[in-house]
Amino acid sequence: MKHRSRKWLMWLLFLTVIASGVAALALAAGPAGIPVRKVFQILSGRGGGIEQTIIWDIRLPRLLLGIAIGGGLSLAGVILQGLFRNPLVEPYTLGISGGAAVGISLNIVFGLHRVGILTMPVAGFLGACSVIFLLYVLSVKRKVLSLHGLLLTGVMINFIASSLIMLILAMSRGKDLQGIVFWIMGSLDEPDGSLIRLALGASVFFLAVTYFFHKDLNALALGEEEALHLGVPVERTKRLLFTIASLLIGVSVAVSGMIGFVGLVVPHFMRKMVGHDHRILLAASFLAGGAFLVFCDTLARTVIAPLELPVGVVTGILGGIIFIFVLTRQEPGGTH
Amino acid sequence: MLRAKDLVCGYNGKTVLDGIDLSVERGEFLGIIGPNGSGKTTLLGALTRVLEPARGEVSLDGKNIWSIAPKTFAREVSAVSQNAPAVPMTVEEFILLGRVPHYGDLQFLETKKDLGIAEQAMHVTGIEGLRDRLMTRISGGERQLAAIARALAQEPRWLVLDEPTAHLDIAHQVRILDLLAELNVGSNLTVIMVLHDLNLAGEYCRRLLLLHHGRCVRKGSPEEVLKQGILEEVYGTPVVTGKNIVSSRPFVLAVPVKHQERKKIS
Repeated sequence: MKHRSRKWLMWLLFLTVIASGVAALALAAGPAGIPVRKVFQILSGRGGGIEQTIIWDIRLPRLLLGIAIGGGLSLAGVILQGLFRNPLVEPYTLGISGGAAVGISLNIVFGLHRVGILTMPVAGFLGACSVIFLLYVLSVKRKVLSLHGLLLTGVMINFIASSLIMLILAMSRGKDLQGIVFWIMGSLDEPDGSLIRLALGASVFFLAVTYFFHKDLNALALGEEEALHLGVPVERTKRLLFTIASLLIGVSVAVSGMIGFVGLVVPHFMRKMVGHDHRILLAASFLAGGAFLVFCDTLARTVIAPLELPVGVVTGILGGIIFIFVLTRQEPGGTH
Repeated sequence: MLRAKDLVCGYNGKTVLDGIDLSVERGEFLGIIGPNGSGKTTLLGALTRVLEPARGEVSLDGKNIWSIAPKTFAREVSAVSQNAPAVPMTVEEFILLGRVPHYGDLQFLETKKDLGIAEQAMHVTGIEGLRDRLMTRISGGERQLAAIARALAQEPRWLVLDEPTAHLDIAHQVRILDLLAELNVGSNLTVIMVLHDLNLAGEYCRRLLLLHHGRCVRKGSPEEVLKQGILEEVYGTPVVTGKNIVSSRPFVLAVPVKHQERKKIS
């Protein structure tokens, strides 16, 4: 078992290298191509001119947001899949994103976004929080948080939310309609620096907090009763992890819309590669999720430049293909 | 001493256990028997701090088990469920989870001691050869042994098992029960288990508890409990009892309907 921690370190190193490579690519690629060497010069404080502005003010914030959102969504995916012991649960299964989308749509329809652009993430976060609250209240019975109930209620809330959005879409006018549709597709184009810092801070903070629960998550993989037998305070752990995952989803969706598939595919893929132990899975998924989203975003920015594809479309297509590939290659009889 | 006092337990307001009194001393080898639905598994749930009683209490060495921290309790009492979970992790990873209650709050990796104890647990259960196999890819008997090894890795003083021999062939049944008997004597591990097989219960347990409709019908040595009259009343089917000529322990045989007339005559 000694070789296991070495293997974990190798994985972390490998993923860090990949993530750094993707980051360098993201900083270099774009309508104004900047050679990688120049990127490093600018990052280390030398060089200047318009390229400095592009790197520091446009591409770097976008890169950081990509890491925050991709990492955060993957982390939420790992937590939820571990909690529900179901590899098909993802951050958007529980309807939290649906709540955020309704909040944002209402915000656009009522024209509140003209008051200030910050009302958008606030409305999204409020929408997400109301769903979290609703889910929680509906699923706690006799002091027990029923995961089964949580999943069912979440899926239903998701349906209701998408119907509500369709209703709002049907009743809104051209410009609002476009705004809502674009927001739903998700984008890492976020001009507000403090929001980016908030998203990055939140996802790194929750990654650290989740690490306090690595052994509880591992024990929960055996089922709630087995985890109890191993001395895990199951009720408290479930609630805390649910709250962490929910807040991660709420922040992500509020800041950059519904970027699908990252939270489903990355944890799944990482489980295949690094194994089921959450001590490595959490960090590996965070890194890989960040790298995956940044890579997809770079594609989205460059494929039909100067026009931009919605990043949610790229993650959906790329993620979907990867997912099908992994699933169909699964050995018979294997789970997850 | 693990003690249940006037224990009433149930699910969704339906009472399953109705006033159980039981005390188990250190070093005992106790079997819990009874028909399906008599509350055996519920009793184990109540004893292992999984199910909170509606009335009465369970105490360990005089302390209500619900006032003991879950982690502390897991270091004293470990439980093996009816079906060992088939999870996609290796046997060794699974057994190492038994060390979870011994982890420090900020401990990240297993210590040498943890690895040694897991090794020992695998050795005792004879599954060292399976360490790198996935839990999903081993047989039911092997998985049951792995579950016992995981419970042993918790270094408990009390081991509670729910039908450890269910779905196993006779060789595996004997292997597991021999192992438990050995641990009971050799390591002074107290064993409490639910058994469906009355013959195995009579053969291995030093004391039996017979449950019926959530109440304790009879407590005592196998000879006192496995009596024809009591069993026929509780199980509602005619049986033949006797003595195993090799071990001189009681055995119980069921009588099929077509032979019941003959049994009445004899």
